[in-house]
Amino acid sequence: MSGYENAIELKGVVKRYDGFTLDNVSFEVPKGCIMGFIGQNGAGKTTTIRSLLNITKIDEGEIALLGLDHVRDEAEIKKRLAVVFDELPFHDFFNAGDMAKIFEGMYPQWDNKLYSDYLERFRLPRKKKIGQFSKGMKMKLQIACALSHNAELLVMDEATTGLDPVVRDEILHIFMEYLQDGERSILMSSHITSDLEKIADSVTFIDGGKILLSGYKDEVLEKHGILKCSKEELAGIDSADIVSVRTNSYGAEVMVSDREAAARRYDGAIIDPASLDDIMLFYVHKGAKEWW
Amino acid sequence: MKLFKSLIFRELKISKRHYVVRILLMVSFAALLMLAVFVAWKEDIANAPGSGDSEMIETSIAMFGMMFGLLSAILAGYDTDVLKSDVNCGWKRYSYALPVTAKDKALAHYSVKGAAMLVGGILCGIFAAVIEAPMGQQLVAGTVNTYLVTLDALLLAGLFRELLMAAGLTEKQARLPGMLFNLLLAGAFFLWLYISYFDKFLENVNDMVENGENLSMEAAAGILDTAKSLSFIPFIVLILLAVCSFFASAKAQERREP
Repeated sequence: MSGYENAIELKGVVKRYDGFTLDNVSFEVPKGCIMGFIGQNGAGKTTTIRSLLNITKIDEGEIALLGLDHVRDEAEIKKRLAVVFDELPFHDFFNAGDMAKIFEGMYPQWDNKLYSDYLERFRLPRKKKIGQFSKGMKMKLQIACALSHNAELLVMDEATTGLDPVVRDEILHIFMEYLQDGERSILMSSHITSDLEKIADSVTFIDGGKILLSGYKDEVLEKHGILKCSKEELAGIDSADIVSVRTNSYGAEVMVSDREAAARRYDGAIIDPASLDDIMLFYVHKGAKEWW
Repeated sequence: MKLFKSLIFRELKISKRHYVVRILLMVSFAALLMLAVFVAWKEDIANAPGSGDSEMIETSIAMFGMMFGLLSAILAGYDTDVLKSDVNCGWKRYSYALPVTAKDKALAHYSVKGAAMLVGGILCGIFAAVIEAPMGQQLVAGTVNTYLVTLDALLLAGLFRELLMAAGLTEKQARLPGMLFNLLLAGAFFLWLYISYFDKFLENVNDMVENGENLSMEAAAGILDTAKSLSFIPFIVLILLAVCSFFASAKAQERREP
């Protein structure tokens, strides 16, 4: 059952729509890791997630979840998988108690005691109709349902979008606890990079249906930097070192993909660490080379 | 079994309100009709058996039975909004990530629907039997037959729609062909209704007017005999349609999003 290396493997996944194509998407989520899947709105995050959950059929490529084929072994995978979407997909007139009755029949490993513990921890009333919950409460309920059947893989699509910082922090803390046994993995798509900087082990950037960058978060942050210089000094920087350049009236900010090498090559240059936000911004504008 | 119970629980929780309202409507309609029969007419029949007035009343009671059968079938067999509301709230998309197959979902849906149709049929039978016993007039067969034929028409309309969805059409694309098919079906249904009930009735009313005679007992009995003799066919058709609808629904639910 647990004999797999990667919780998620995508190889050369292609999905075509009019006006948008998921183009040769490949990445892996190692077992026991949290992967942050980052991209701006319309980048292809949700399409990728829908493809790997077989909500939509892919045109080319291979997808494996928990070491199993995502179509052939769908029934087995779904018992060990949990999903959290950005909007609560439960009917408004159900309550938290009703959801337990629905899910306990679906998941062989459903744990009612664990579910009750999560309801108590999240301060969610059992008998109140879901339609009367706040947005934060709805998200907490969805997460409580996702965490209560010992799922090995948790897939979250913009689950923390629209939540206040207090609720987001609470939820992120719970995810960290959930992964402590090393047997569980999380794929979390978001454009709130500050959340992912806190908890992600690895990150994958997507834009326009293409993977821009994928790797361990600390390595990605360590390697990238923002070199600040004047517009005249910009001409002296090798284009091979440049991801993209943002210009303003004071000068230029250059994203470099190898901070250490750039520090050696451009002696005296100021190179600041880059955040995931910065990295996303500069990579999204990579095609433009210079932008503002 | 646990999975089936969960799905039935969910289905009932969503559609309970619809079915309770429908049963109340059926019971209210039945009560109204019974009021007309027992309060307004029973004395007339008791005082003048075999007279023209009592025969007209008996034919009217047969029509009541037909109307009740029709209405009960529409209330019991018409789709609730479960599938539509699943799409609207996002559950349908979410359910693709759940360990539930399309056949499981279809089985739960049609089990609840089947139970509703059974309850409707029983209520029909009870209504007709309650009037039949004291009035001495055969009513159960005709009422139940009308109920079954109407259910057949509704299931056929539903099956056509499921087949369109299984073939890959979206809700929007299926609307026009679905409407056209329903119109065709409605036409066929009312033709059957006319042939079964109204044709002979109108013929005898004309006779009555021309000859100055009352509607004969034989004519009224003839109408009901026609209805009685077809009772098993609509029931067998109902079973077949229910099975086909289940498989078509499962196929439609297997379809993933574009």
